[in-house]
Amino acid sequence: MEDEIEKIEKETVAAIEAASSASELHRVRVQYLGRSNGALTLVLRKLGSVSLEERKKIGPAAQALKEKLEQLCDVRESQLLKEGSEVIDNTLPPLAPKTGHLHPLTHVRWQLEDLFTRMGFIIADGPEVESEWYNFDALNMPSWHPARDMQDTFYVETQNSKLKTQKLGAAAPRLVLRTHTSPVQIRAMEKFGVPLRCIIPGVCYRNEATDARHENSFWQIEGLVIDRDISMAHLNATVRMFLKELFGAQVEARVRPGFFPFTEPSVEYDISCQICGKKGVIQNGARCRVCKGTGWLEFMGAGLVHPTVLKNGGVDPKKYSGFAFGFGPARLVMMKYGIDDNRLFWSGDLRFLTQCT
Amino acid sequence: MKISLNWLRDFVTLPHDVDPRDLADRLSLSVVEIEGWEREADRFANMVVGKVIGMERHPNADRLQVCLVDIGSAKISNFQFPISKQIPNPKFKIPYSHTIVEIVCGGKNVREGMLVATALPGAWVRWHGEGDLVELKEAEVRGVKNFGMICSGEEIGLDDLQAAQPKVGEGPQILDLGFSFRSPSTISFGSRFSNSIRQNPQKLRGLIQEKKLTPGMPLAHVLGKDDVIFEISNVSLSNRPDLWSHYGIAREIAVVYGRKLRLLQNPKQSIHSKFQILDSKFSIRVEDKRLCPRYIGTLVENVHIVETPAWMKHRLSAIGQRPISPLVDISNYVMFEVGQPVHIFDKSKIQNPKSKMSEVVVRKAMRGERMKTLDGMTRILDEEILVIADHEKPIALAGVMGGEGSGVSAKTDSIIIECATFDPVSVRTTSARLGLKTDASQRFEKSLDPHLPPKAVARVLQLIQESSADASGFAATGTVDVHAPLPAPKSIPVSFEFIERRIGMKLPKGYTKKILQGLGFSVKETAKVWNVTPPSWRATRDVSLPEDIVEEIGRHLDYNTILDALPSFPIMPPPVSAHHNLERAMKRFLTGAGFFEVAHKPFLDPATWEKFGLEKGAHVEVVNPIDPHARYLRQSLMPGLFDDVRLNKNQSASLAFFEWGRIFIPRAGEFAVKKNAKKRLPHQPITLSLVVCDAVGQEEMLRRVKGLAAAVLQAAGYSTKLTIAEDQQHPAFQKGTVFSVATQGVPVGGGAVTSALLKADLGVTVKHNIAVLSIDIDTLAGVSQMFKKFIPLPEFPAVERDLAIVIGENVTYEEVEKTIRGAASDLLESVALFDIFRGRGIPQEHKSLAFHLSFRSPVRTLTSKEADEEMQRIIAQLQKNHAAKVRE
Repeated sequence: MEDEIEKIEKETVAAIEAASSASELHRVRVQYLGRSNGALTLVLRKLGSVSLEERKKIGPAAQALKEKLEQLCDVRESQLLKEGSEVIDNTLPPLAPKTGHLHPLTHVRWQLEDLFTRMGFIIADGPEVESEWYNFDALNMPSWHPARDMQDTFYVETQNSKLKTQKLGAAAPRLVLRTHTSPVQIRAMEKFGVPLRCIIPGVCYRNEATDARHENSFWQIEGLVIDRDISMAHLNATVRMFLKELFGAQVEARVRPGFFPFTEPSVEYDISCQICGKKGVIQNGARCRVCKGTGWLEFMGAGLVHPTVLKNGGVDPKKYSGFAFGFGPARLVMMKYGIDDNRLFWSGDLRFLTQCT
Repeated sequence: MKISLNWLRDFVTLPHDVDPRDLADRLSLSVVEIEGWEREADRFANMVVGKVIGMERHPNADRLQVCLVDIGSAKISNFQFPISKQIPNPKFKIPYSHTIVEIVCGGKNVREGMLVATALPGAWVRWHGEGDLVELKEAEVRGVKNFGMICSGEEIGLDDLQAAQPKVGEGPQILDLGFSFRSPSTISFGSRFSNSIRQNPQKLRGLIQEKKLTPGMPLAHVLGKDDVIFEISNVSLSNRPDLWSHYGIAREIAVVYGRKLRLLQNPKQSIHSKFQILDSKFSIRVEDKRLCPRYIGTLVENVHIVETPAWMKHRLSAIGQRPISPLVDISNYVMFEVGQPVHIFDKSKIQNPKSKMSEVVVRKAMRGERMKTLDGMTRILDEEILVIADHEKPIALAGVMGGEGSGVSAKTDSIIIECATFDPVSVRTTSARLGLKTDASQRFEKSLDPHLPPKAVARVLQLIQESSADASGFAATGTVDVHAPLPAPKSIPVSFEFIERRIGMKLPKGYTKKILQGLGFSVKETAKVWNVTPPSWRATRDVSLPEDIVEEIGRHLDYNTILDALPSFPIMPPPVSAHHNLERAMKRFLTGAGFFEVAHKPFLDPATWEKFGLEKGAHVEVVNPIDPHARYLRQSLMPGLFDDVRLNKNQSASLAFFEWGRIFIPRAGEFAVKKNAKKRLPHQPITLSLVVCDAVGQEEMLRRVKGLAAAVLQAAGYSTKLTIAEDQQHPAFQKGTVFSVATQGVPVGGGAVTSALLKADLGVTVKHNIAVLSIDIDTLAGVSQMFKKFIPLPEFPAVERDLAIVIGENVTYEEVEKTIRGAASDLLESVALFDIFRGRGIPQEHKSLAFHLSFRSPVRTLTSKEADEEMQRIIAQLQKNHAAKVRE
């Protein structure tokens, strides 16, 4: 019986192919698949007389074959009816599927998060409305410290704290919009203990007028490593490795002294200017404007964690040391795409969002 | 802060041709951030000495002359001067090789034979001394070609020279270089002459007369403009009280280049001995020694300085300081040289008329006391502000600014020089309170060395003496030095091994020690540790820990030479937060579904949203906002998203945005203000909100946003239950569309279709509808994800049936589905609505619903008959419950 079916299949397929008009195809259809006397129908009728086992095996296969042959007929039919009549203009513009995009900063942040998680870092987070303790005092910036002037701060209050401020005057503990992601250093030490490797991406705020180069709200990504005998050499190696991953081997980095109250020693990393190729001058001999002729662009601050900061995070500075670094990912995005206005990042303008993919 | 190279050379010998870029790099790598540098000569590029050798009246302008100017062998790259047709005055012998150019000039005083400052094409000049610098180009002036400019002093930043020159007639004047050189007190000669010659006018005059000005000499060279000015980032000096001066920077450069630092003159020997000490005519009283640890007052009588020496003016101008008057210039000069602010009082103005004594009192101001400061502003003072006062009133804000009434003037005869040390916090507070940041306050608030004032006094006296035409006429009457015991710097024990461990490599011991000693540290080596004592100028606050010593060594070794060594860590994957995973999953889903991620600043003005019932009630509020209206922190992400719809409505027919960020609720949240503290920060959960806008009906829009809610949660691994909220009026949302979202029984958010009112406000068309959805990610992260179990694929085929019914509008889908499921047996596997239709062929107030129904048995193949029986029961029940009519 199986042989019989196989034979019908071969014959039918050939006949369908050979049909040269719709009417001829119709005859083929009746001859093989017709409900009353079609060749395949006749064979299937005989199914009742074979053993149950054989029926279970052949039944579904024959049914599938019938559907397949019907479909072949349909396809051939549409070919015969339309052959030569369908014209395709293959120069029409492609239709793209409708998709959205991540914010360009999310894109870069994820790239960096992935890079650091691959190196075994935890991703830590903390509040944006922060206490003065975490934002300043714990980071070795007591209220008299001139470094507090380096960061113009937004102070915030709630209705409750407002009453308190009125009552206690300047002495009342205040809340701030965090000026950097560094308060999460302390929170991370408290939460995870040591040894610790984490990065801290987050939005920070500074009270300054907004223009193309300055924003009062911005992203920062901070890294923190604490273990026994962490040194400047470890910091240098880690930073160089990550800059290489980020920019490729052609970008050079240099390190120079800096000042941050929460690190000692403090350093800053520069990357070579991509506009003038570190030469400080552009083709016509003029001073490069992007790097102001220095050949280098400031990229991030870093240093060994100040012993007071470790202590405030509950870590014994006699046993442990650490390094920390921080930078603004917006800078990376701006360099990558040649964006010249900070404000676009917060605009929600589709004409901007659709470009940074 | 600007630093002059020539000034630095007073204290450290640098190669004559030191490369400014190299110096800038080395300073950046070891000391402070150099933001840029400029050669003074660059400002005089393409400017030369020219000689006027012929003049003709301009054919089309009465007041202009066409001058023939001999510019010697000066050349301008890429520029060829045409040969002039005008004939030079034959009395001048012009060498064949000289270039002669035609320049139109309007100067009243221009004469044949005059040596003039000639700017050629490519030079940058300030037209008529006003406006911005512009580049000079070949041009036509009223029909006559012009190849340069004969400049006035104001046009090329030599205002002083122009002012010293007598005017000839009425009208514009040009600079007569010959005159400038005949009166050398007006001109400074950069570093060409040594300090001693520069400060000896007679000797200088002799040298200048020998000098011949010839056409073609670069102007910068002639004027001694050979300085290089470095711009130092003030922020990078935040922790260094000692670096706010040329001397301080020179000390570091000496270490960087391995040179010797010339010491400041020792005050006692070289200065005080020259002055007669007369009877004291003034007194000093310091009421608060904590806020003013040291106060030196020096009385000098018969001070007569006609003019600030040219070299000093030149140096001050070079670092961006405008020369003002001799005594003010000297006090500024000393501040920029040694870093100690100096203030000079006119003694006669602070004298007690009864006793003829001048009393100087350092005290706290009294509440309500007023004082007019040097900038002309009247300041109202209080007890927190430290002032310098005379017998009755404040005469200066300590460490910040002097008073207008007590300052020196041209008539001043006797002065009291103040060199003091003030408490940094007090100065900083006063400066911040009054919004008054000065060169002095910037230095004091870094905590200045109390050993510096005597050196500064000595330098001031030296400069007064040198600047006076007749030094014998004046005398220092006396110096009063009031100070508490000055603390001796404490030594810091630090092991060499500790330094190596923090740097992370082996170090050369001798060189390490030499760095510290070069910076003024004393190093006493014992068997176990080094006892390192910082110099007084570093000991005020800056250096106190072993880590600080590591920094000194690290930066002078150059951090770039530290060999890289990666830290070694145990192989242990880091824990990943639930938030992190949710962010990835949900954002990936949404961007795939056509959404754009946006970000907004959290500041907003609730007044804009209150009429829509959004952003109501108390907010977390910024105390010192930039925009006083937008001083509240958002309680929801929706306002930002609605703004995006408004902004982009013309960009695309359908819009889809989402934002992921914190919102701020003024009640106690989960973060404490300090470890173990009870007090909590405001609640600030991370929230995901989305908005969609499309040209579809409200019903369809509601279905979409509900579908999105379920899908985005499913993408994050959660099941969803949506509940339509009790019908309540909300001005922002369409009645009956507000729904809440729960997963595993925990409410995590909600959504709705927006009201016509809000839609109209956003300016979208009537055809469009907008829907929003918000999910509280912090809550969601606390819910455990559902465990998905595999359901085996069916063994037997299903029987499919379609069903279309017409029912009244008042019958809900939910009721219909319930009826269908209730009427059918277990064989009904799924009910899927695939069409809703209203309109042609359907009676008023009715709708048509079409379903795919699927029947299946887990144990056998269903027959058509069985399915048909199920359908009959379903139809009968629909007819009975809802008066449904089946559409054929």
